[in-house]
Amino acid sequence: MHDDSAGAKTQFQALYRVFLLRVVDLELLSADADTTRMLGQFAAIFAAVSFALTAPLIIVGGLPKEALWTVEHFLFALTMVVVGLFAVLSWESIFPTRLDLFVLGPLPVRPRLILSAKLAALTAALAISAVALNVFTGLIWPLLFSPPHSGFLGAVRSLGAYWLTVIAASTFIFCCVLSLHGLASQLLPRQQFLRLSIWIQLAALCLLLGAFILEPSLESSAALSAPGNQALLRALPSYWFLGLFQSLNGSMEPVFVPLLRHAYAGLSLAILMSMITLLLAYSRSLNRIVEEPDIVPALRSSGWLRSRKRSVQLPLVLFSIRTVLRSRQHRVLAALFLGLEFAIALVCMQGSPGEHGVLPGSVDGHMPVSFVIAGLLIMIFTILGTRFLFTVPMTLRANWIFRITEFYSPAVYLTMVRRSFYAIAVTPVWLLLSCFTLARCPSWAALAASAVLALVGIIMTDLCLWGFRKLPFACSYSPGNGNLHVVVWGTLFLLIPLIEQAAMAEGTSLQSYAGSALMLSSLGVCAFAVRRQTNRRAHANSKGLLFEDIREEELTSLQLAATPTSSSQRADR
Amino acid sequence: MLELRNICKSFSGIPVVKDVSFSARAGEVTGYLGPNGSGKSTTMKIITGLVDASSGEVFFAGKRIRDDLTRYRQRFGYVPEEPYLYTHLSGLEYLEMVSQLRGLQGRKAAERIDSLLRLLSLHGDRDVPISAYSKGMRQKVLLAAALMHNPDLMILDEPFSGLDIGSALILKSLIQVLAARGKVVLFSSHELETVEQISSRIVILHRGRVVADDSVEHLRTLMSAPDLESIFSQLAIEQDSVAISNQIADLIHA
Repeated sequence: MHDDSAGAKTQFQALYRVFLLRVVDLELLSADADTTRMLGQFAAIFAAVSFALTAPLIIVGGLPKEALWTVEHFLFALTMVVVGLFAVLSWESIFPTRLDLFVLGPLPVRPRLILSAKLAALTAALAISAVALNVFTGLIWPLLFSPPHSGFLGAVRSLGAYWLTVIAASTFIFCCVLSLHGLASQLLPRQQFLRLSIWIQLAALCLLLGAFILEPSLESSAALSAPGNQALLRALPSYWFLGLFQSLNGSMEPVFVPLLRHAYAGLSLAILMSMITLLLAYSRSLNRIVEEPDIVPALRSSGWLRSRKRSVQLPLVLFSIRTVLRSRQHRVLAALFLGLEFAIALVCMQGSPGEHGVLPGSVDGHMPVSFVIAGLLIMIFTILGTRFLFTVPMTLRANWIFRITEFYSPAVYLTMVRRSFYAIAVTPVWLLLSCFTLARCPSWAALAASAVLALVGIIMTDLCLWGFRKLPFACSYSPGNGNLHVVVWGTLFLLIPLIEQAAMAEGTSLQSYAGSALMLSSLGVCAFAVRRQTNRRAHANSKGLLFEDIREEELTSLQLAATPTSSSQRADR
Repeated sequence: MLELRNICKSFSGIPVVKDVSFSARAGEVTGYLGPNGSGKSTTMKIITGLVDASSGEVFFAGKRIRDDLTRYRQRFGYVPEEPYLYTHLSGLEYLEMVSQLRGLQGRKAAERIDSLLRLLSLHGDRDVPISAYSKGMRQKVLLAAALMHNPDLMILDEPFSGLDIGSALILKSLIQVLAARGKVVLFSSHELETVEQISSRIVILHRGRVVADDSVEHLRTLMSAPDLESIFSQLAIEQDSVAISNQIADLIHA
């Protein structure tokens, strides 16, 4: 008996380590990939956010009670949205893959042990992100949240209450995601579930981000006790955990009592539901995972594609579209970008129509310039997201077929990749936004705005292709090389304000024919120049395509020693 | 003719292919043999241009392949050791992609793919994703992809792996037919009986070096060996297989 439990513990530890390390798909990585560095960059971003949220405290010093409630609520809501996003994005890792089952199936490992190890690994990964996000806020703000005159013990209690609430809120959102996943996998046939999974994920992402951005500020005694707000408060879990914190912190007021009840009931229900659905899903899904392929069966290829005269570029464009549509991993990443774009659109549309003015010809002010800003941001982020998506490989070892068929010049491959960008990112976004704009504002200004959007798409695509020597999904991925933190902060503090300024300038230009004509001609010239430069650079490329993302050598060895040096070894590889 | 001259290859300073030279002629089937880790697949990858040799040159039709790699790539068909394919595509989609990448267009290419799929008994599963294919079916997709452009040189790395008996018989015959039609065929396999049956010439690699390069008949006479298995055992197997099996059995019993 003792040997059995010791054996199970050893098995659990081994599986836990394997599953935790599988946060990053090792099959995709370049030989040079630095996973630790990438994870460190993620943690650094969260810690920096945490620090940025703590800094105002140093400036402000103290805050009135209701302002403190706002901060408390914001911190819990932020934790919930981050943990929720991670849970949704990683929900595929709740179930073992076919490979897991083929490897572990013949071994004497009980399915419930696999489930426990999977859950523990996922929980650990989510806990790391929650801790990183609260590393500064969770140590400094709670000192201010303690009830007045409660002294040192009050501060300690507040600290404990804060972290308990963070754990409870994270557990609630994690369990909700597990329940959603478990229910969907039980109610739908597996192939349908695989097909619809991405849409459920996308809907969950939009719901989380939408709720976070749009939820009203009710952090005052009057708003919390107003009868008209009670239905809303029942529907917003972030407020429940504000109530829980007040209770644990010892600063409970009557307005929080219903919220506290919701918190306990919601948490219990979420845990119960997730356990039931997960156990059901596990007991019923393992065989289906082994028996059925992971990828949705191909639809019969449409005749028009075959009957068309094929251009050299077509195979790569089709390959890119099929990969985005069928690869689970790429669809999840695409969903993340779509969710972020949805959030951007919401943030932009939240402003009042009068803030930036409206487009000429807009009926009843239905087409504010803020929509133009949102459109530009969506177009640019879709292209950047597609650029990132293209660098994440699909079945890396299968890229030998592209290597042995590298018959064309770099310029031809550049055109292939450019068309893939147009097919996946630029055209769908442009069509969607243009139709929406023209439907709401059928005027010359809307036409001009739509032309601007197309030109911006063309320019951004060519900028993304600057020095891009890869084929989509066919080069190994080196996550540590991306300097993720630089990209994130650059986007937040440089790119978004820049786009906002440009969009406002566009809004101003669209107010007159002359302004619109000038803007369109300037963008046209710019698009032509960027295209020309990108093509010129591709023609000058004598190195061919890149299939292995290896960092450029920072040191050059003089190779004075007789033994092989690191650089010569790398050349060997 | 395909010719390798003094090919050497090291990985991280460790030599895996050492001064390998041999040639494979048009109209002949050249069998390339060697134990695991002898450098066979690395040599195959060097021949396809997927891996660069540390030193030495590969020539095809009298020209260095590095001088015009693009032209060379258009002339060979390759079946790799492992069936790495884009499994999210169907068999038909994969072959269409390869044909388009190879510049084959129009009705003729479509008909050729369709016929290959029928002849290799894949037509019924042409729209099923490759992820659902068995190993043998994947091997057939690779074979179809390697053949569709009528290459002058066939490089087959373990082509029989996973094939059922019927398909293996077809492939055996196909290799001989291709050679008879003037193509250069280089193939590696661990199935010595098959290699002996269809190869005109044998190259045996051991620890990265060529230890035999001759016809099977001549090797048999030279080494007084009844068959290829005996020749291979003498040249490339250093261990006493019976002793090792006994040691393994003893170990797991202990």
